[in-house]
This record gives sequence, C-alpha cells and structure tokens, in this order.
Amino acid sequence: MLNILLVDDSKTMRAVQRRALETMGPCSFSEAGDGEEALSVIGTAGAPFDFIMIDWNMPKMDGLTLVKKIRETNKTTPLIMCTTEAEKSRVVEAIKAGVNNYAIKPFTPETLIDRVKQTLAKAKPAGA
Amino acid sequence: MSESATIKPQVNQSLFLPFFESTREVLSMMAGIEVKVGKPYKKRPPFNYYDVTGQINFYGDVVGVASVCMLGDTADQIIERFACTKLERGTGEYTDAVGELANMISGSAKKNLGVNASITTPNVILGRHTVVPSSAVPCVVIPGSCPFGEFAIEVSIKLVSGSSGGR
Ligand SMILES: [Mg+2]
Repeated sequence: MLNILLVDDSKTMRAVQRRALETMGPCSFSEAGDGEEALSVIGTAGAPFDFIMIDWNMPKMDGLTLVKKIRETNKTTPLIMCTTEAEKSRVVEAIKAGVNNYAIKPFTPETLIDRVKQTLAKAKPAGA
Repeated sequence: MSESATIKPQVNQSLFLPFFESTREVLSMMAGIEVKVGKPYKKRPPFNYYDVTGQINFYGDVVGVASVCMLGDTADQIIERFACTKLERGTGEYTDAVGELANMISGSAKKNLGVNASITTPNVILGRHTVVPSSAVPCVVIPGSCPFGEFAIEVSIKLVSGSSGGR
C-alpha cells in the first residue's frame, strides 16, 4: 500500500491525480491545499509518506517554499513537483531545493504514473 | 462577430501565439477534448458576453491577464470532462475546476513566452458578464471551438518596458 500526500490548491487536480495513481495499485491518500496545510498534515501523519506530490503555485505557501521547509528536516521522502512551471530555470530551481522528480501539467495519466515509478525506483534500490 | 478587427502590427504575436498550443494541449490531455482554434482578433467593443471565465494574472517581465471565457452550457460540459464528474455551476468544486483549467492554459503558455514571468492563482467569474480589457494593454481574442461549443481565450499581456523578452 502506497502512502501518498497530494498537495495542490485545486481539489479537482488532486482528484485527477488520485484517479491516475489508483491504477498503480492500492494507495492511501492524504491531501493538502497549500504548503502550510501540507506541513501540518506531515507533522501529524502516523506513517511516513512514500512520496509527496507538490504543486508550485498555491496560496499561503507555494510549493517551492514547501519543498525547502520539508528538506530542512527530511532528506529522504521523495518529492515530485507537479506544476505548469515548465521553464528550465524553474526545474533547476526546484531540483536545487530538493525535489526528486518533476511532472509538468498538463499530463496524461501514463506520464504521471511514469514519473512516480521512476521516482520510487530511484528511492528504493533494487533488493532493498 | 462585432469584436472582429484585424490585429495591428504593434500587438506582439509572441505574447499570444503560445496560448494556441497550450489551449489545445490542456483540453486534449486533461479533458480528452479536441479543440480547434480560430483566427485571433483584437478585442473591440461591444464585448461578447460569457457565463464562466477563469483568469490568471501575469507579472514579472510581462504584465496583464489571460482569460478563458465560456458560455454556460459549453463550460459545464468541458468541466464535466475535466473533473470526470458532473459539477454544479456555483459550487466550490466547479469554480476550482475552472480555475485549474485557466491555470494550466496560462502556465503552459508561459514557458513559450520567452520571458521571465510568474502567474497568480486563478480568479473565476460566474454569471453573465463581459471581460473589459485594460486600456493600457492590447487584448487579443483567440476564438476556440470544441464539440461542446465555442469559447474564447482573451490574452491581454504586454512586455514591461526594459525587459528583453518576447521571441
Ligand atoms: Mg496551483
């Protein structure tokens, strides 16, 4: 069972992501609508997340700030930025801040799943 | 259409052409809707009426706003396809879905503007309305059509003087 946190200010987008990711197998989803809410969900979560999907443009606290905050204390949880921000400079900025992978909106369900599989494969070396 | 007028040369094409591709891409990938975009024209009064509009503001090397404008029935069906469920106009879920479509269309166009720009979170207008452009920024209307009807992308952004963008 994959334990996933979806962070996006659009509830519709989180539902679209959920529908795509559910096809990978059993998943348990937590959700947050901005960076601040995400930090509080992470702080009170019982088990660590297998990965966190993070939007860039959100109110209160944006995704880039959230990534930096998470990485202050947690270097291991895979973080995937899922955003319309597609300029090379933005991707570089996000990677510097600590994201493991990057999915650009709009996406097909296949691309999103692909990004997640890539990320999880790198996070857990074979045989681990 | 009464708004029709040819685009004067001073309208920077590189600032609205990216919206053609982003509109097609977003509706095709996220809602399975094939879209045709028509010939763009400069917006002039009297303005068209819409029922559902999602707006994104740009700032940085460009300023202005891009609006995804639809009539009610067309919007309802596009939103249903995107959300994979029928949403009632006026609910938070519906507004959210309109905003996210606008976010993706503008955000996706942004990477091809060739400038360093940022976008705001969306603003959604519901109920019969017109979108009145700022007199300081030229507004180009990109008409679109899909199996659910016609819609328009209204792009009203300009380069901030001193910035070097706009390929
Ligand atoms: Mg967002």
